[in-house]
Amino acid sequence: MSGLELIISNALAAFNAFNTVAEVEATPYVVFQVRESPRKTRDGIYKYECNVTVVVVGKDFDECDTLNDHVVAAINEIVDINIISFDSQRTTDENNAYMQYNEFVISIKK
Amino acid sequence: MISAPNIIIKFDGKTFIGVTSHNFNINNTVKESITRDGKKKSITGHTYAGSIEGVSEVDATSAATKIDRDAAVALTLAAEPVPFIYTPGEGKSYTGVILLTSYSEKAGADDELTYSLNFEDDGTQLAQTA
Repeated sequence: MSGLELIISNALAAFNAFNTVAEVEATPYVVFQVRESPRKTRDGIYKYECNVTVVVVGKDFDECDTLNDHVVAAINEIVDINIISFDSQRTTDENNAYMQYNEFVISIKK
Repeated sequence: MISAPNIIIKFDGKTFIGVTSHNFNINNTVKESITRDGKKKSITGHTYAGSIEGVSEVDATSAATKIDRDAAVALTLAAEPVPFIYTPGEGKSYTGVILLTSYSEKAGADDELTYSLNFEDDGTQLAQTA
């Protein structure tokens, strides 16, 4: 687990969060993914700019919304990271899973 | 092909900390003279100038080899000619003497502090070294 994955995992520990897709019976649950891009000077890497996707899955949008508010708040409260942008959208799939997609761009010092 | 990250600019024997890019320009000085046969142009020398951009950092532990943010400001305010070396990583290096003509910082709400500085020669011509 990378540095930011661990930070996100700790922040979302109270919300039944997984950082890989898992077979989960009970809703709601949270899945997140971190993709890190290093930013360099001539001295080497000085920070990572990361795309963090946090998906809240529920049996309906009401269930998603309640948990989603807490999840987004938990990420906003993390110290030592800088949230550059945030985008959120709802979707459903063929299995009648209701999902709230949250896309963060976060920078973190090396 | 010369790899850009291998290019080193040294002021007073030290490199700048957190460099992300730089510019370096050599301009020949062209003189026009009028003779009995008409106008003629010739090159009488050259000037050189450039700029460096980077991410600001304060690191006193690397003071022997690096110019950090504090040292860069001090160097600018000192307003003294500084020995200059330009090393492309392979091929010849060039030495000269420059004046630090400006230093600026950019501080956004979210990002790290960045700096840029401009320099130009003090009239000393560049010398090619091995």
